[in-house]
Amino acid sequence: MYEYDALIVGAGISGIQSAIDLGDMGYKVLMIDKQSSIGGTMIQLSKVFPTLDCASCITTPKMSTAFHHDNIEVRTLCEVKHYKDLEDGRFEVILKQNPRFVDMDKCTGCNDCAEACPVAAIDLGYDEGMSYKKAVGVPFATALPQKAALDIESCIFCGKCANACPTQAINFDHREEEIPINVGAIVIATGFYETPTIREKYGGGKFKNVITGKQMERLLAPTGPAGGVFRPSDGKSPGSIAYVQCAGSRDATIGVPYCSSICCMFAIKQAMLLSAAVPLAEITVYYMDIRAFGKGYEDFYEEAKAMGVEFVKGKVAQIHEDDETKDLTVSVEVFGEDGGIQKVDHDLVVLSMGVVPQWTADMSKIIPVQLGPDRFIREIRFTEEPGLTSIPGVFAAGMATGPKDIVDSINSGSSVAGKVALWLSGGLREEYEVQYIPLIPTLGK
Amino acid sequence: MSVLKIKPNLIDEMQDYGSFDVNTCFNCGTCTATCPLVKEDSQFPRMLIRLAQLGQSDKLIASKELWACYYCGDCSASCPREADPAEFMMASRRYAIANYDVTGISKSIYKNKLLVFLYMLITGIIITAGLVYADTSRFFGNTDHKLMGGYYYETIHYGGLVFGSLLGLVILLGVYKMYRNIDQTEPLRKQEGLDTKLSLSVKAHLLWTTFWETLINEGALQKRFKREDPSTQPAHRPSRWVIHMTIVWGFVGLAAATALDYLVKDLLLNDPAGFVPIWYPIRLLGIVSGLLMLYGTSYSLYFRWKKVSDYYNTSNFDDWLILTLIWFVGLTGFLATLFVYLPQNLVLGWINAVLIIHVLTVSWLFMLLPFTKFGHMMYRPLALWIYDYQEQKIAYAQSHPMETPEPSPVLTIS
Repeated sequence: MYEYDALIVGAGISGIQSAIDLGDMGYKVLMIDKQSSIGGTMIQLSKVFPTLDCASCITTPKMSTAFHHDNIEVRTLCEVKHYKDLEDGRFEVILKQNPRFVDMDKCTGCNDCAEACPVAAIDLGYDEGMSYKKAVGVPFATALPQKAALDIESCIFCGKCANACPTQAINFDHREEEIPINVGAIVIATGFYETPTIREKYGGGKFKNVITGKQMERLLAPTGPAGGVFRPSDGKSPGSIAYVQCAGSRDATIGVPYCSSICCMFAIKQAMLLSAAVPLAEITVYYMDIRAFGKGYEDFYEEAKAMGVEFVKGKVAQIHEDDETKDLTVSVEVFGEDGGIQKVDHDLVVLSMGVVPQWTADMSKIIPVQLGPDRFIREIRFTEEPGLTSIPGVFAAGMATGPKDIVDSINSGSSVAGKVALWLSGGLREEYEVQYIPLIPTLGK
Repeated sequence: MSVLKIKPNLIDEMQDYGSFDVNTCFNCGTCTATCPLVKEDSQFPRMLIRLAQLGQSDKLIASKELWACYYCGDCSASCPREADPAEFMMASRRYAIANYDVTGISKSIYKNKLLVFLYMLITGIIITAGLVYADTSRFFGNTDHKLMGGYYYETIHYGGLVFGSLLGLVILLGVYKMYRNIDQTEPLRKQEGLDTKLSLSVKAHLLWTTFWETLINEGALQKRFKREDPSTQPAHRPSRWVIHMTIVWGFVGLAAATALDYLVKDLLLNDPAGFVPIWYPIRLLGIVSGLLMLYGTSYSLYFRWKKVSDYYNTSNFDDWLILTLIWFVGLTGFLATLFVYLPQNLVLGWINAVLIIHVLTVSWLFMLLPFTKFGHMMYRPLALWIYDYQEQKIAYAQSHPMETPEPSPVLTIS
């Protein structure tokens, strides 16, 4: 039985921030992530708004700080399997350590295994389906730990990697392990997925040149699959790119009636980046309303307009694909003086999909935190005490509690670290006893 | 220049006419961009929803778009707010019909659906009692023209005329109200001074041609329905267009047969209750029309009951009521005709019952005409006619530029 002060579930940007803050305060922290590397969503991104800083330049130092911290232990490919509240301010947790099939102690991260591997599977993880990956290898260039991992789903068991490995680190005998631990507090920082459902009217995911915001993020990133922006159908450079805002949010028909709060800004950011990456392309953003609410966001929006990005008020209702050229036509009722129904041709359409929580109702059966009506983890006093869930001692940070941009996620990670420290030093107990009217944010419906 | 009246509670008021929730609408326009029927000059449903949100009742019920929808349900399926715009379109029509009705009967029927049965009960009693009274007292100066079942021909004939004139008055008032409404709330369409620029003969010509165009295209052939109804290639047959056409033509045919029957038998032969053989052309027309009407209503009722597709998913109470009444009218009318040609001793007991049900259902049907969905048969063509006329006027003015009068020569006195 290992003992820690805090368990952080999810090693994205807000989990990492919580871990670093707690570690710096002297608490022993265990941070786990179900992926083979820490970094979460942010390590996939190109740049951040509204400063246009490179996303990796913010993430990698933080990842590295957390990973090499004396007080922080990191486990990847690890999930929570069982949880028990000991009622004395501590928790018993059994972790499920998924097999990596690579001995972490032996692996040097040389990536010879990946070069030997004959598999080319679609990379649905890091590259969001925009490239192929090997069944074994270091997950991506800036991955931490810099150790190979073997994806047993796509592996064909040819054994070439094991032969190629100079340290004989490949080990097919790895099995799932259970690790019992005892912790004083739990932070859930499991983040989000892009809304998985694409409307039928937008092609339902069948149109090749209709991609999601995160896929575009990969195309724009310096670590991206092709070093540039291309049309998936033919690899050509797109001449006109459309952004469809609210494509996967504020839409009750796909079960996401709330605003994702990030799409406006990332679409503006990507539009700006595209102006540089594909200088000849015309970029049109179809929007209902631009929600540029944060510090410097409105200026950022104005800047994009000044750069020549076209903003058209109107929600795209349908996208049609040309069978031969795979060009796209969007139908939209445009507002304004020259408004009305318009059908506009575009080479590439980016859907600003919304966000849904990675923490599901099934996971709430393991750690029984209450969910809100929007299915994000409910913060019981979200207007006054950030991060407090319905279970005393279990906290939630980042996108796990609701849509947040990076700035807010880091803020949330830090503030939850403060709450955890307070809890571990014996405080915060009475906060849960105060009777209060439950604050349930109403959904947009 | 008229002042627009704003009804702040318009949406609440309209909710009596259908179950939709356009309060949640955020005007994204998905419905409009999805709709297969929108044209450059008529874009809906979002525009109409916006009018409802703004409380512009007069503009809403005066709009042409109101009558352009065929309820395919595409907009409702794609609405991100689940506001049900298609149901809103249907409710707006009912709302418009209720507002053009001067008696207030329509409004109360839609507000409380039980009232329609009360209305039918009261009128039913009045009609039955009136029938018996007029028959026995020879109120209409009955001669010895007896219909089968023993009713006097004159009772039915003159009773129907009195009854019909009352309804005709209500309909005329409604139609006039609609015309006024469109005229006042659509000043833009008239363009500046267009009415004074065009000569009377041109206007009369346009009015005449657009009348016939509307009557033939919208009424007789229902071209727009056939062309634009997205359900014309459905998995199930007959299509909605065929069903609608059979009901319309059945109805028209029966009306024509009744009128012709009156002309020939009463005025020419002076034997209104006389027996005619089955091959008698007017009788044949009536039978064929009745069968067409039965065919259409049966399918419509069946499809609505089974909800065979999205187009039949939502049925309001007046859909059921009107269709059922038409069906009963067809059935009882057909039975009554059949009884004429069956041995009289075989059907004697039934004739009376069938005939009274027939008279009642026919009366109810016509009585509900100006107050329910059925009223679309007058309001829809009328609205389309008025708008067509306005558009033709504009088109005429554009293709025939007005000659600006020569400036009168200035006399210079040297």
